[in-house]
Amino acid sequence: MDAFETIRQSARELHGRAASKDIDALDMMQLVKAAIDELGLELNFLEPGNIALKNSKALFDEQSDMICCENSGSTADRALLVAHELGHAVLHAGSVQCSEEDVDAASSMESAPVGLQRVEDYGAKERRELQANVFAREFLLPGETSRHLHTVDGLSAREIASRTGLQLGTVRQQLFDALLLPAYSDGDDSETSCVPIDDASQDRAVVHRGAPYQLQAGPGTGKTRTLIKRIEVLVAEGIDPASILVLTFSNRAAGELVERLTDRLPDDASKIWVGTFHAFGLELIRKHYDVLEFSPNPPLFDRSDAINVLQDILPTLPLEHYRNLWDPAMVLRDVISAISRAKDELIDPQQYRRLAESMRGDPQADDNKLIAADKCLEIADIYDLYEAAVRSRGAVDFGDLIMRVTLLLESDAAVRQQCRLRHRHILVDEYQDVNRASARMLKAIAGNGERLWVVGDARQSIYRFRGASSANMIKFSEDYPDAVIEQLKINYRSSSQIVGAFTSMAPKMGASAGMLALSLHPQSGEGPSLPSLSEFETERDEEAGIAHAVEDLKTNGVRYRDQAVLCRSNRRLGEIASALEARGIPVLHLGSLFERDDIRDLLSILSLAVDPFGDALVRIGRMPRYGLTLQDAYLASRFIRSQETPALACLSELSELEGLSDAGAAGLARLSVDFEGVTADISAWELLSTYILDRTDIARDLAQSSEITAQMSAVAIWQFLNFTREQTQFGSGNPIERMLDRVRQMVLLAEERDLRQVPASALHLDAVRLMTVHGSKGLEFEAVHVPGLSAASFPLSYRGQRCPPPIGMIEGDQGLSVPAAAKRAHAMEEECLFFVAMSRAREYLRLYRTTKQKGGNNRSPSSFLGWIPSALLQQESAAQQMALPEDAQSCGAIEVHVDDDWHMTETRLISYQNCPRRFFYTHILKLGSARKPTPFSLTHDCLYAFLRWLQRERLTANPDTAAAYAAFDNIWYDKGPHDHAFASEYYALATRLVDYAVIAGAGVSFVEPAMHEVTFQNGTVHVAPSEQGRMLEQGDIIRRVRTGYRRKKEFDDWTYTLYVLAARAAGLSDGAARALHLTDDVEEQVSLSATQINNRVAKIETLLSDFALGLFPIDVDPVTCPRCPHFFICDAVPSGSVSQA
Amino acid sequence: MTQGTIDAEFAKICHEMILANEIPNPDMLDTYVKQYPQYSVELTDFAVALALDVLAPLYEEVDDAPERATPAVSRTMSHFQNALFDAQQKGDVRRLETKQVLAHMQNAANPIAALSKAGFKGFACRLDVNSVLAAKLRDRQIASDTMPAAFITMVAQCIPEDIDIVAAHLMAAPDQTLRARQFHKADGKPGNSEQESFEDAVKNSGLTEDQKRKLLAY
Repeated sequence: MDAFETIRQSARELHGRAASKDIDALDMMQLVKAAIDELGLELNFLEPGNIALKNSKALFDEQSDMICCENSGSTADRALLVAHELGHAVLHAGSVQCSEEDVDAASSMESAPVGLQRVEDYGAKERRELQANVFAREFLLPGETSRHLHTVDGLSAREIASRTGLQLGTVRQQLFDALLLPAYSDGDDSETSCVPIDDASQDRAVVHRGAPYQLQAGPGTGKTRTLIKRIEVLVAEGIDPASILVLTFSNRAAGELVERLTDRLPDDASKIWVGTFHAFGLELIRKHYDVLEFSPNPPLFDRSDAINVLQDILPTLPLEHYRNLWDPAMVLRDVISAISRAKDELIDPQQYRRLAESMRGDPQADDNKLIAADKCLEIADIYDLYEAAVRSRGAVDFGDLIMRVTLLLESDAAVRQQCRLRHRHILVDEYQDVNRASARMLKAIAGNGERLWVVGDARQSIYRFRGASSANMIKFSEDYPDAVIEQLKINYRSSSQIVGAFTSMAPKMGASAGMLALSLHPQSGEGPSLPSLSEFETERDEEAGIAHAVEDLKTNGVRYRDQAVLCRSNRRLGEIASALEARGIPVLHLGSLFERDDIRDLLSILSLAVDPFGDALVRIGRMPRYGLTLQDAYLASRFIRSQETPALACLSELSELEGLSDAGAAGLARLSVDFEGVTADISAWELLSTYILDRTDIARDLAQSSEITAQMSAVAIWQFLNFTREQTQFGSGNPIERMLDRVRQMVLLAEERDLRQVPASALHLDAVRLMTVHGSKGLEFEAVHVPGLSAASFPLSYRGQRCPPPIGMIEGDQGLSVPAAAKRAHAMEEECLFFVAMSRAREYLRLYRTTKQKGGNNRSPSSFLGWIPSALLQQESAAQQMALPEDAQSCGAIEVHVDDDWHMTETRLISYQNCPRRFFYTHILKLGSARKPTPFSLTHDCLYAFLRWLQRERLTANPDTAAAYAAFDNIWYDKGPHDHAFASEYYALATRLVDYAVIAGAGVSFVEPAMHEVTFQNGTVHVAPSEQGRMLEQGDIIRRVRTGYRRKKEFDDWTYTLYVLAARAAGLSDGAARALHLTDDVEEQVSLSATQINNRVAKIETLLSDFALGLFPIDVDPVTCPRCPHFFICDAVPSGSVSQA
Repeated sequence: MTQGTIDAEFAKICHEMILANEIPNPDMLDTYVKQYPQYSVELTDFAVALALDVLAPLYEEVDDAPERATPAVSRTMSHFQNALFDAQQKGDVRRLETKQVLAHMQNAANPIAALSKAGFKGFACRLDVNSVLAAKLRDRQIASDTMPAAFITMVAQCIPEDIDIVAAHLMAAPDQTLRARQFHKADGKPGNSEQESFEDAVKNSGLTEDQKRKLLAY
C-alpha cells in the first residue's frame, strides 16, 4: 500500500467517527467540529494577525492539543484550515505552523516528475505539508463520497463545490484522485523477500562505529533493511534523530526510506532528514541564499528550461561546430548535457576553457585533435554565456544544486561547520550513483568521515550519463583513509540458480575492478527452474513468445503483477506492451504519455481552444461522445476554414451544416455545449478540469470500469492532468499554446521520459509490469522476462558523444583518450544493466533473443549470454508463441472519394511515401494547422516561393541577379525568419541558392510547365515539372529542381523515374529529363537503366495500389512527428468514408 | 527536579561548552545531547551559534535580548558575565557576543514549556484562562512590563514555579519555537518575535467575558 493510501485511510476513519455524530457530513464546519470533539482537541478561531497565530494561517500546538485558525474566508475555507491541522495532529509529532502556501488541499499527491517538483517534494517539511493536505481533502470529502456524488448523484465538480462550500480546486483534485486512481483493496500488497533471521554481515554493518564505512551490497542482500536497522540502533543509543542525514539519489528511494522509517520509528522518523542530494542542495541554497547571492527562493530550471534559456540567447552564442540550422534545439540539448556534465565534475566555465586551451596548445595535436579542442572552446564560451543568463534570471539549474553548494561548503568554514554540527551522522544509499560533485559535497560535511556510512554496489552503477561512476566507490578509501569496507553476504531475493547465474557474470565485469569479490549465499535455496533462453526469428515472434510465457506462469500461480518485462529501450517496451494487450494480457505501462490515444484526445480538446482551423475535430469527432463520421469531420473542417473567425467562434454553427449525418449534427451540437464559455486564454488545467468533471462523463465512465486497460487510461489521464497543472514560464502565446509547444519540445528532446513512470497509487493493479532496466533498479519480481538479447540490442551499440568533454575533465579517466574513456564507460554500464536485469528475479528468469534482423540477415546473440555457464542456462529449443486474436489483424482501410480535379501528383506521392497518415490529413482532409514552423522550413518556403516567381518571370524574360534578389527580398521580409537569431545565416544560405537558380537559367528558354500524365497499372501520376523549356544543346527538357545537395545515389529516388516517364509521355526522349541541385550547383541529365526504371515502377505501383486500397498507416519518426502539424490528432480517423466532392 | 534545577543544568552545559575553548565539534555535541536529550534542539542551536561566533562573528542568528532585566534575569546574566570574564581572562581569543549567548541561556528556561500536556491544561485551568492565552504566556508573547505583578505571582503559583524563574521567563525574548522545526526553510528565523500588551492579550485571546473581567482586575 502506498504511503498516501495509509493517510487517506486515517482521514476516512476520522471522517467516519465524526460523521457518526448525527451531523450533515457535507457541512464542512460541522464535520471538523465533530472531529475536534472526537479527538479531544481545542479549537480557536482568531482574527488575522493575532499574535497567537505567529504569522501563520493556522497552527497545531501539541502541548495544549489546540488548533488555532485565522477567522477569515468562507466557512468551508476555515474548515479546510482546521482539517489541515487535524492532519498534523493525527499524523505528525510536534507542534506545527502552517502558512498560506502550506495549506493547499488542491495540491496533488504526486506532482509531475519534472522541474522543481522533482526535487522539492522530498524535503521533510514539504512532505508533511503534502500529507496534511491529502489528509484534509480526504477527511472533508472522502474519495468514496465524492465518487458517489459524481457517479451516482450525477453532480459536477462545480455543483459539489457549491454544495460543500469547498474551493473548486480542492473538489476537482479530490474527484480526480477518487475517480482516476484505482481503488485499493485488501490483498493488493505484493509479497516481498523473506525476512532474514541472523545475518552477521548485516549486524556488523549496523553496529560499526568510529571510522568511515562502506558497505558493498550485492542485489537482494537487504541493504535498505540494514540501513534502517543502523538508524534504529543509532537512535536507541541516544543519537539525536535530528542529527541524522540520509541521502539517496531518487525520490522513489527516498520515499521508500521515509515509509520504512516511519513504520519503525514513528516518533522520530519525521526528525530525520531523508532526501536526495539535489533536495538537500536546494535546502542549503535556500538556507544560505544570501551568502550565495541568490533570492531566498530561487527558481529551479530543469533541462527544458535550460534549453529555452539558450534559445533565448541564441543570437549571442558563438555557434560554429554546434550550429544546426535545420533545428537549433536538437544540438542545444547536447550542449546543455555537456554543461551539466561539467558541473557534475565541479568544473566551471573558466576551468573548462583552461582544459580546452590546453588541448589546443598540445604540440602533438593533429587536425582531429585541434577540431576537438575548438569544439571544447566553443562549449566553454557557451557555458559562460549560459551561466550569466541563468544568473540574470536569479535561477539555479540542477547541476547548481550540488556544485554551488559544494563550492560554498568547501570555501566557507562557518557554513561548513554549521552543516557538520546539524548533520552529524550521515548515511548514503546507492553510493555507486554518486558523481564527483556529490562525493565532494559529502566530504565537506562528513569531514574525516568518522560518522559517515555508505552503502552501494558498483556492479549496479547504471547512471553514468549523470556523471555517476563506480570510481567513487573505489576512491572511498582515498577520500577517507581510515575507511572500513565490508560486504553483505546473503541474498534473500533469488533462487540459487538465479544467484548463480548473475554472480558468474561478476568477475568479468569492468565494474568489479577494485571491489570485493562477489560471493552470495542464496537464502531462498533452490528455485523451481533454471533461467531459460528462448530464441525466435523475428521481434513479432519474440512478442508472441513472451505472451505465451506470461500466461504459462500465470497458469502456474504467478500473478500478472508479480511478473515484469524489462527492456533495454522504450521503443521495444512500447511494442511489447501493445503485443501483450492485443492478446488480452493486462499491462502496467503508460508508455510515451503524449502519444497515447486517450491523452491525444485531451490534447486535441486543448488544441481546439487555440487552433483557429479546428483541425482537432478529426480526432475529437471520433470520440464516442460526439460520434462524427469521417465525412462529418471533413465538412466541419471545410466550413471552419471558409470562415474568417477562429474555430472556437464557429462551434455553435457547425451542427446546422448541410450534409451532416444525424448523429454528427447531434455530436457537433453537444460539442458546442461542451465548449460553452471556453476562451482561447484559458489554462489547460482549467479547461480539462471543466471538460472532464463538469461537461462530460469521461471520469465517471472510467471510474466505473474494472478493466485494466480502462484503469491504465485513467491513470494516464491523472498523470497528464498533474502535468498540465504546472505552467511553463517560457514560450509565447496563450497558456494552452505554450503548453502544447512544450509538449512538442519535450517529445522532440525525449524530455518526457519521467512522465512514463506509473504513479505509486497505481502500482497495486494486477497487470504485468513493463519497464526499462533503468526503471527496475531497486525492485524485484517473482518472474522477470528480458527480451532483446541480441548483438547491438543488449548491449546497445556505442554511438559516440556529440559534445565530448575536454581531456582531463572527468576524474578517473586519466590515461585514456576521451573517446576511449567514454566507450569504456558505455561498455561497463551495459554490463551493469544486464547484471541488474538478471538480479531482479526471485524465482523465474526468462531470457529471449531474436535470430533474424528486419532484412532477413542473421543476428548474433548478445555477448552477455556467453557469460552465463551453460549448466545454469536452459535453452528452450521449441519455445511456444501465443497468436494474436483475428480481429487484431485488421488493416484499417479508409474509403476515399476525391474531387474530380484532384490528382495524384509527384509531390503528393512523395508525401504519401514519407507518411501515409500525414498525407491523408494534409491532402485528403486538407488539414494543416497554423502552428509555428521552424526557421529552416520558413527559409525553404521562401525559396520555393521565389522559384515559383522565377518560373513565371522566365516565360517572358530571364530576370537578372538584381531583379532576382529584389524579388527574393520581398518574399523574405514577408514570410522569412528575418527576426531569428540565425537570420543572417539563413538569408545567406538562401541567397546563394537564388544566385545559382538564376545562373542555371542561362541558355534556356522556358515555357509554362505542362502537367504530364504518367499512367500505371494502379493509377495515374501527374507530373508537374519544376521547369520546362529548351536548352541550346539538349533540346526540349523537363527539369526537377531541388534546393538541397546531390546525394551519391540521387537517382535511386523513384521521382526521377517519374520524370523520365513524363518525358516519354510528352513525346520527348529519356534524356530530356534533367535534375538541378542548387546547394552544390549541379545540373545534369537523369540517367537510369531499363532495369532501374522497372524496379522503380514496381515501387510506384505498390504505392499507388496501397493508396487505392485506402491504406494510410502512420510512419512514426521521433524527430519528424513532434514537428508534424497533425501531431496531436494522429493517428485518429473517425469511421466511415470521405468524399471531397 | 524543579525548573530552577533544569536551568542551572543547562547553564552548566553551556558554560562547559564555552570554557572548552574550541569550536564545537560533532563528537562533543553528540556527547552532550546523549546526556541531555531534552535539550537536543537548544544544544545544537547553541553549538552552531558558538561556532558562528568564532568563524563568522557578523552572522546574526537570533534577536537581541530584552534591555530591561528583572532581578532574576539580572542574576542569570551576572552568572554568565562572570563566566565570560573568566574565559576572557584566560586568554580566550574568541569574540563572543554576549547577547547571543545569553539569549540562548534565557531561551532555555521556560517553565511552562516544560509542563506535560496534562500539566499545561492544569496550569491553564488553575489560572482560569484558555489555551490561547496560556500559550502566549509560554511563548513570551505578552510584554512583561505590561503585566500586573499580582498576575505574574498568580502565574507562578499556578505552574507552580519559583517567582524569579517565572519572571525571568516572562522577561526574556519571545520563544523561537521555529527553532524546533528541523526542516524549516529559514534556519533560525523566528516565526514569532512580536509581543502585545497584557490588556490586548486578554481582549483578543478568545476568553469569555468573565475571564476577561477577572484578568483585567489584577
